[in-house]
Amino acid sequence: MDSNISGDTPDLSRSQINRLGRRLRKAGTDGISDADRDLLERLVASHGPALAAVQDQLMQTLGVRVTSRTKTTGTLIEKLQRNQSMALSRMQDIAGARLVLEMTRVQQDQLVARIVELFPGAETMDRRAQPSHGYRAVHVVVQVDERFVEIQVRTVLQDLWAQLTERLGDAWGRGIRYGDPPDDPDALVGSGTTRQAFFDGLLHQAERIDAVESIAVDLLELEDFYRSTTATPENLRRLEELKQRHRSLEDETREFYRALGLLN
Amino acid sequence: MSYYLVVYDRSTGAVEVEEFADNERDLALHRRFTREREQGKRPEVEVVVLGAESREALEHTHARYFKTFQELANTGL
Repeated sequence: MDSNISGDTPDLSRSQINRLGRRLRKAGTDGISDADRDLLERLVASHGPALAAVQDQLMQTLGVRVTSRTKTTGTLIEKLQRNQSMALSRMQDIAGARLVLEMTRVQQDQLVARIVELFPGAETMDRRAQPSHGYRAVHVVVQVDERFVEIQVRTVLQDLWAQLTERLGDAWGRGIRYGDPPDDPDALVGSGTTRQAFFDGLLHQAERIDAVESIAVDLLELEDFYRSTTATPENLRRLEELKQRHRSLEDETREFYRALGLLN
Repeated sequence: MSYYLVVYDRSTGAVEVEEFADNERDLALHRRFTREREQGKRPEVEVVVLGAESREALEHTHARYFKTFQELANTGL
């Protein structure tokens, strides 16, 4: 007999959910039975109240815009198939909330800290320190009423990169988000560039954004430090070099986006 | 809070949006499940329910559904 433990829905036990996950992984999106589709819909719907509660609490407490979504059937099954050992009851992003704000990384850290305070037991995944195939953000996984909710906290720069990559994945295969090459990687894009080279450029852009955001923090810290002490000429020279490096990277970032915007 | 049923065709970028009131979350989800079943074997069509204060908030955090690749790139200028 299945026990009523964390991860159960009111009428689905954890082991039933995990068996469902194994069947979904095997059947794929095309082969899902009506009975399993019913079960999956019940599981997804059971996350609705927890997700709404998290979204409300974030908006009311933090005063920021938050949006939410439950995972689609297709992306849920794709995830099970990508992660062969994942138990469906342990999938942490069936319900997800997202915050995208114009902020520095220090402010992003502060926002994450406030979210963690709001939800005892929250777990943080810093995808800036451990990017996933170029994707950077901070994810906080919380549990409400025994349901996981994943909160994605992104800066505007991190989000734009993610949106572009998702959009490109729509056309060239969603596997690019997980390290696969684009479909038809040697096909030409624009002026003689292959899809693969183009996507490599997008991955490089992720590194550039990372540098822009990291240097911005260094600059703020240095400027703050020099306000409280007498800077030597060497200190000032170092500061100016860092500013120039930051400006140069920002220019390169914009130039890359300008080139993307001109593609057909 | 509103709920938005978004039906997005990855292959063409075409998008349909239907708005539901705050107290219609379950209805929105029901519509999503029905649309997913209707789409049958068309994995390129994504059917999702998103919760947001406004359509503007939704387009801010899920721009991919509403902008072309070029339009997205231009927001980075």
